[in-house]
Amino acid sequence: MFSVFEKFCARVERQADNRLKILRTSGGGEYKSREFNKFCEEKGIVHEVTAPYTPQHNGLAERRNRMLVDMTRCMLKGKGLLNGYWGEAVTTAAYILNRCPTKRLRFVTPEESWSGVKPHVQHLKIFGSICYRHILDEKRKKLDDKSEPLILIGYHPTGAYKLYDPERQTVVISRDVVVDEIAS
Amino acid sequence: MITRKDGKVAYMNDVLYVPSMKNNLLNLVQLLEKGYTMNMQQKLIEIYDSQQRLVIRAPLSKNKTFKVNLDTTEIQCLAVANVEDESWLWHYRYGHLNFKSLNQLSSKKMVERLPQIELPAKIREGCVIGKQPRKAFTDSAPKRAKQVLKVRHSDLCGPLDTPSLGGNKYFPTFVDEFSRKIWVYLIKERCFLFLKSFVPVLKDRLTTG
Repeated sequence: MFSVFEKFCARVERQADNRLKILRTSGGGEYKSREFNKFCEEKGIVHEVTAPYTPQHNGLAERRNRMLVDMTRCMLKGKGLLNGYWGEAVTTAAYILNRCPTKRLRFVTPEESWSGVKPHVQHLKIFGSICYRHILDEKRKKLDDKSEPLILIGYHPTGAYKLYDPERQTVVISRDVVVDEIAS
Repeated sequence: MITRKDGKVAYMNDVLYVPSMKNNLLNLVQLLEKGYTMNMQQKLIEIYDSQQRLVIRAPLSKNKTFKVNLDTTEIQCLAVANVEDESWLWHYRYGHLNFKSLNQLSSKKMVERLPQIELPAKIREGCVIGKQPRKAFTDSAPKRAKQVLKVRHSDLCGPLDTPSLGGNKYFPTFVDEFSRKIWVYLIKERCFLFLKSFVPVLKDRLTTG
């Protein structure tokens, strides 16, 4: 938990060119280690801990959790995927939710609010769809298949797709993809 | 679908029809291509469909068009159906996002390259499996009891960790729905027979006040 927070902190501070000032948590054991406290103290981050057994005070985080889990469940059931794909589904759900309306921001997506750039969604495809990935010329012989079926499991920051190969159990990233959104 | 003056109906297919517009234009050449036949004489036009049934009869008006009042009863528009299908596609792409938010995204132009989203009439299974909540417990249930003693609600509370001074661990409660009066009894053991023994007591209590 600490190492994740450390990474997150470094990343967002650099990206937003600003400083993290307050962290509100539910006060679970995972936020209580000595090195965690030390890190917050050195950085001058105020660690607000809610009253015990009062998740209501951590409403923003709790509600986001529910939205993420709801969306994940829908995405998995929608395509009849095994629950083991939840990791990819949660990551994709977060990606999508950053491009969704919120109550607090008026007619701006979280993504635009954070980066100042209006996101475009042309590349969005249905999670879990079967995709046909083009096999590079160098990697096949003349009469081999020119594409192979994989499962779409996410988006890469460069605009490519993250695909899962169930046979080899690997994740590949490719932009040469034809997505069949109807088949499941 | 057009209702004729005699009450029968006739059809015209594949037309670009805008219900909210005051006037819609019908192209005679296009009707001709679809197999309709026309008869124009004495400043009057008659349009027949392929089975030689009269669809429209209209007089020539001053601006050199034939003005006709069409009574359309049913419009089946395929283009809108396509928009709805596309809306569903975007609903799925957007991780089964609710249509209200999806509509807001497109109507307020919050993201680029999202087409217009139509609100669908029906729901689909995947979403219900994924995010159906429990129904709200509103107090809309009508009061059943019109007078005292008609309906009683009861529950057994316990076992309590510490026995009472009399050694009891449970207490059943009875609530009268009409008056909301509560009765409490203390018992030692959880058993099903207690009701029998309490009903006469309860009646007795109620009659004596």
